[in-house]
Amino acid sequence: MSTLIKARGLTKHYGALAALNQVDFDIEEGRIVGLIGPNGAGKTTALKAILGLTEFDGELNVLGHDPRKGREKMMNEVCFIADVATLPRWLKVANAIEYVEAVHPRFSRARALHFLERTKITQHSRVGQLSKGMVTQLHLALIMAIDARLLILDEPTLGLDILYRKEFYSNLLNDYFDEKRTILVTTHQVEEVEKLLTDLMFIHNGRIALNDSMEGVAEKYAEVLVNAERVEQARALKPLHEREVFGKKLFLYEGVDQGKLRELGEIHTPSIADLFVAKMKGEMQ
Amino acid sequence: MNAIRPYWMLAKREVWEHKSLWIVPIVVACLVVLGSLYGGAALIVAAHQGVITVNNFGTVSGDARGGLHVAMLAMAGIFNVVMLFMVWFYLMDSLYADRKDRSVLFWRSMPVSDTATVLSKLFTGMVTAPAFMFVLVVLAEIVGGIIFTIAAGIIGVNLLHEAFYPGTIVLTWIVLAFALIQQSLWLLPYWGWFLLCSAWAKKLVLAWAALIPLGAILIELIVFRSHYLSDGILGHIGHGAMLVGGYAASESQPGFHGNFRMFGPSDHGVYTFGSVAHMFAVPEMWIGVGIGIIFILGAIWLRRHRSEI
Repeated sequence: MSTLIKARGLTKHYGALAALNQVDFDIEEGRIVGLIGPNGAGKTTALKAILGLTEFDGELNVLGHDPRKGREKMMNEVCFIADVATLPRWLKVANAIEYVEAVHPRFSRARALHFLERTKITQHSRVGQLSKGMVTQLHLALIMAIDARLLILDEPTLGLDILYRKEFYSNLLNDYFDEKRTILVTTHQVEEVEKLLTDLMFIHNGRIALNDSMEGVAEKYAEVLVNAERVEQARALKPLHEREVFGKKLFLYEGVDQGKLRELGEIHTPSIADLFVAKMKGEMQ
Repeated sequence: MNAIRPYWMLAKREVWEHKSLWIVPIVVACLVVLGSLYGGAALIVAAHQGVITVNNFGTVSGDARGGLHVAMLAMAGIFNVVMLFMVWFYLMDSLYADRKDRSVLFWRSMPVSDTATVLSKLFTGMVTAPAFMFVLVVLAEIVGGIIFTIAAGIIGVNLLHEAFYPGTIVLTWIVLAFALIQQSLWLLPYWGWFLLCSAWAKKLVLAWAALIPLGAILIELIVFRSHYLSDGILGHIGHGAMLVGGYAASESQPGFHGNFRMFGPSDHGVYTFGSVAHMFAVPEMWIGVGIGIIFILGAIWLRRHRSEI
């Protein structure tokens, strides 16, 4: 397994505001990494830096290229979908395919047509005539037909209805992803990607608040549902976060021995959303 | 071929997006042909009513060749004015529209360099649009010529014999092609400026593209009481506008000394390449090209580093 993206001291300031502040991370081949953070945390800035769409300080290596210099070559192996509907309205479906086929050496027309066959999109329609969901299907079909090593998705399902959202991720997982490909995704709808991700990265105030594999998360973090009489005992173990559920208390722990926790009650791995809330509240305190 | 394919596609993409670039000139061509039909019909009607007689019409003087040449270039001039306006608006839109609708994120997700993108827009304005216009002018002139020949034939005048000289016609087209190439180069600083504004403005490209040079000219006039900028900016475009269809002598302008008589009749009454080629020897041409290149480099830089609105 090789490292696809390596960031060291990645920094980006917008005026006095540090969107990214001395960030280090590695992204390995064959992973699906979720980049999760509140609005303005620096997620999009990080993606833009990786894609060579913004300037930054520090070191960044993407597939052996510095995105500031080798962008054009890098884009042979990197694809991205930046939220929905960035395809221009005037573009015809057939022309979109023709265009990508001509400029992208790794594009397969047959694959694109194969993906489009499953949709209601016709070749002669214009992007402007398609629904938002269909535009996303088209964009995904174009991108999935490119044999790229790294796919970057920035809020790819924002504003889509639930059917399209589900389909989007299931297509990606079933028809695209394999051990040679890497996907980096940011989204607000954490529940949707929860089962998809192999790695999790939280970003907050321009810093990485958590960076671990899902197995690592399951080992380090645990949630315990505790009856009222054991609450004090649970608090003594210094939970990251606590909240009430049906008259019981739910405690979220970081790095506490799971054997000990089992004595308190039933334990399970926290959802990304709960973990996120716990980590963010912890950061703010 | 594979190396050219992406660039060919970039040029094609522009034509897909900016349909007006070819629809409007086609409309002009149709109007010209309709005009010829009307003119031909009017000719026949006038002959029948005795307004003109075959005799007085038929005495075509020795200037007929020159007249044909001028008429053909004048027709090209109509197309050219339309084409220049189309290219002007096209270039202002070309690096702005996709930033406005955010599709720049899609285009820039492809392995196409920003240099290639900007140059494809320039190519469309400098090559595709004039080339297409040239083809339309030739077609319109052929169709118009046939219509008038038939109309004249009906009233008993053999235009083929009286007025049409194949040599003149072909030479006129060659001169036109040459003039279009010169025009594209001559206007390069303007095309570059529009690309720069298109890549830079967050809105109202037209306002920026026009107000900055006009403001600079006014400031110079008012504050320094000199007019170098207005001579440079407006004078240059003034000359450029005369390139096609123009046989205006600009001897009054310093630095030109008749070089501009590119289409001026030579002693033989037919126009020569020699006069046309003079334009390439005018320093102002190459100074303009240099300024244009600087603007274009600026547009590429902006596209690379400031593509977000």
